[in-house]
Amino acid sequence: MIEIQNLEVQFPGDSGPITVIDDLSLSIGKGEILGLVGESGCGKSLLAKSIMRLVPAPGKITSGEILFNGDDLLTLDESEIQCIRGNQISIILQEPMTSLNPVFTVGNQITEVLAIHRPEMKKNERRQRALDVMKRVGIESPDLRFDQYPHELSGGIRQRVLISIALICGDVQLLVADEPTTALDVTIQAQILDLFVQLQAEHQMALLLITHDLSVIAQTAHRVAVMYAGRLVEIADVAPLFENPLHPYTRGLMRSLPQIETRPRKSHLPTIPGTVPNLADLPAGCPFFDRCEYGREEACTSTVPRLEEVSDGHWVRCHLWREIPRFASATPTARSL
Amino acid sequence: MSTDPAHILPESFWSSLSGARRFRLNGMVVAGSLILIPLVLMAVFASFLTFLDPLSIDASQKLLAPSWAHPFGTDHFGRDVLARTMYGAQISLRVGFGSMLLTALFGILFGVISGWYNLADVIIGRFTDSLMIFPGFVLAIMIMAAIGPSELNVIISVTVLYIPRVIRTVRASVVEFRDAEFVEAARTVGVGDFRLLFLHILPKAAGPVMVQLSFGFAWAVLVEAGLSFLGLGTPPPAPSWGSMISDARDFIRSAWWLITIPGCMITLAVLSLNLIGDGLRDMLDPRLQSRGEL
Amino acid sequence: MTSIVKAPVLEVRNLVKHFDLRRSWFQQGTQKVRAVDGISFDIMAGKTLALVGESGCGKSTTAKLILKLLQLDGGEIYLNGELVSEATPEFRRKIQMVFQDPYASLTPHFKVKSILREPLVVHDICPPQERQNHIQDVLAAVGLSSDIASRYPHELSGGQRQRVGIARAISVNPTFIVCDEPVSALDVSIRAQIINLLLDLQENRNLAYLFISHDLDLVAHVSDTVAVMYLGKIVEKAPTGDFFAGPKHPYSKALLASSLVPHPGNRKQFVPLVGEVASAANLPSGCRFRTRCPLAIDKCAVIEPTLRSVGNGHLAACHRVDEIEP
Repeated sequence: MIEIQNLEVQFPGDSGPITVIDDLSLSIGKGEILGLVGESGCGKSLLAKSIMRLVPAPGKITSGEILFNGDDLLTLDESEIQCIRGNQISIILQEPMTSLNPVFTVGNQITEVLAIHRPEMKKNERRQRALDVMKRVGIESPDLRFDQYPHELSGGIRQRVLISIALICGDVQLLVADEPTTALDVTIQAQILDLFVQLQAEHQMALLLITHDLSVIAQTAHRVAVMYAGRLVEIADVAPLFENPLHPYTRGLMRSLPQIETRPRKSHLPTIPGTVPNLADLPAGCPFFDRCEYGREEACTSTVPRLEEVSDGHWVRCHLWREIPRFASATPTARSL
Repeated sequence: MSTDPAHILPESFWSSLSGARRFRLNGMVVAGSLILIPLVLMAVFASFLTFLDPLSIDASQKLLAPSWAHPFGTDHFGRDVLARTMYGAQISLRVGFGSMLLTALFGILFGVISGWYNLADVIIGRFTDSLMIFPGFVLAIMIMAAIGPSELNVIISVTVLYIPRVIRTVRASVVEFRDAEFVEAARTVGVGDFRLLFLHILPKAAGPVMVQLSFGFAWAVLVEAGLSFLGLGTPPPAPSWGSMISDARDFIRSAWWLITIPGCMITLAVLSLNLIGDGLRDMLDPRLQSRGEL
Repeated sequence: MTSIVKAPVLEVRNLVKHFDLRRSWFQQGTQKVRAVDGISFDIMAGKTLALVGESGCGKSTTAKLILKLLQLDGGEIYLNGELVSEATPEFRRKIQMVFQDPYASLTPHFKVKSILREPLVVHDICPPQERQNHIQDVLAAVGLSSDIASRYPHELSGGQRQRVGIARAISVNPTFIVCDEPVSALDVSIRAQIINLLLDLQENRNLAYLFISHDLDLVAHVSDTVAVMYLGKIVEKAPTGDFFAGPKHPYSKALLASSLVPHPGNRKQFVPLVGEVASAANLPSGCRFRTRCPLAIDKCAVIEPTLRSVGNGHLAACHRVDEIEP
């Protein structure tokens, strides 16, 4: 469906360009949910924008290709990419509060996409189509909501409106959702994630789900990619990844989560020491080295590790993955209720 | 998590980028200062730079063209135009500086009160509104007509005219930061109102106020010249640029230097101050930066 | 430390806060938003009470009421057994807050040392010549090196800023700290560091925490007692262990069911709860939760349930609490 090869995105810096996404290759198949995990600043949102060719200035995609159904999105001209944006590839941004324009009604903003991509449709056809989609994403009394303004709606409904906008054209093949539930309450988050899974299965679309929350990934994704400092450090199917994460960063993330069943209350949580490195000033070798519990001076500081295939479909970017002991994960049981 | 660009890149990257830019001197500020500094030096050291008295009348020397003895020529009373121009700069800068000092002082005071106390806001708000509905220069003429022409009165009327802008700027900052989380945080530590206002909130208004004041300075120079041109400003024989132009009207055809030189000075002073104001504004608002680079 | 009677550090009784909501220019009168509507709890020294709930349930308003950043419309607050009527300097010293957003809660034009010196100056805590040392000590206590003192907040990482915020809170030696979502704005890999720091400080200084969070896993880890808020009321309060072993209120159950387990092994059906929170300006009659409650009966629309004991210090406000299987 979509295949990203050796993508590199750079921003100009005071001392030469800063590589914000480096050597990133990724593919998402039809009907697949790929979860992309990483912390703020790791380049995950920028990846979403790169796919839509919306890298904010002064950033630039400096090399690589993004193949969508065989066409390289990076070589298309502006009018061709506009045809694809919002039509075959849609994006849902993280803030349901600010992604909608406060001065237009909800209906207006949903039908606007149709006005661009389906100019032949009549106004009442567009309205009908919008109402159908709104109903499908679980908005109650859509004809009432259609004429309301964003500020009259709750966060959950706004997020549903954004999903309607993404789906309205009807032939979305790739949906990119950037932190779609971060701003929502837990009960609403559950509803929205459920909607994503359901819509994705219904339409057989590919879903790139970007989040910093490992539980969201664990509960929805088929495959997981972990990013750190602009690079992919691990990709695997969701079960093996959570069973035995190989990259020390992935391990650190998983360990540091407070889990009700597995840790005594008020005990120290295992931490990843230090902070995210400055992309403008990355050390030679592995960028995770100085936070890594397994790292060894001679092996890790000389060369940047390459993404290696460990087992079928499980890739990791670490020099030492062979030596790392098996992950002792106490699999939590289903929450007792 | 927000859509703030800081989340796309590590913040250290952004602060290194925008932080360095922010405090790099803006081209327009540099250009404006290069014009303004000589003007200020000329005004301050006028009595050292020329030994000629700007007021001494000598009928035998009247309307002389520029020469080595009188680089800018002489006027119809035989007064040296260079000396008058230099001393004129003193008047312009004194009016500008004096009025902006008063404006800053009272503007900040009223702005703070207005932003902090809701009741005062209503009263001060109506007051500034009613001042702002008059076209500025017309109001200046009205005030001068009422209180009589003198340099101090020019300063007062410019202050009255310009103060609403500063009040509004300060008030906007106070209102914006009054409920900011860092203010709330300081409050929970036990910081009182006075300290909150003057240490935590007002410094955030310093930039916008500086911008306003540099525009106000330019405007004050212009108003002083305009009022003096009309005979309502600094009274003769003081060498105000405005009254120099007014006097020179009768000699446009015979003595071009009389009107050109004070005219150029006004232009340079206003231009330099506006450049500085624009530059400062761009430095404060990085979004406008691309337009600000010279 | 020989305290004879173990009295709570903080007692809150029937706290009420109503906001007036002006409807529009043309309508007469105002509408009341009952942001906090009669809540009570105690917190003991060295213990943590977690306040859990969704946005708009009144948990942040509660924090502001306790900190005296907002005026009470009803109820009493007792700090160390004394009724708090106004925010005296003494009160401000005893009670501190750690804010959610370390980017917004530090005065941007203050260096770290000024931020940390300010409470010392305001409360005249130590002589000026010793302040420098005091600041170094506080920085060390939160795990920051002393060179941080001469930096501005924007030069620090999110985790470092939050440590500075914590340093400011502990610099006046408080007995009670309100932690309002202290890690939710931080990166995942930094959160555990900050949580550990808060736990250490609590242990070393015998601090009482009011811990506001929507993250149930986190709450389970750090708290001693959990109170669940819904639309301005506490609907359930229980010792943490009891609560997570068997929540009694249908809303608590739904919250717990909605929170996701970070493991793909036990995926579950989501959507334990349909609909959205009712408006606090227009509360449903009777039980506030009945519009979303799967167990609602006719009685729920008429009589508002009150908190009652279901054993072992476990309180729940639900008419059908006895019918809910553990």
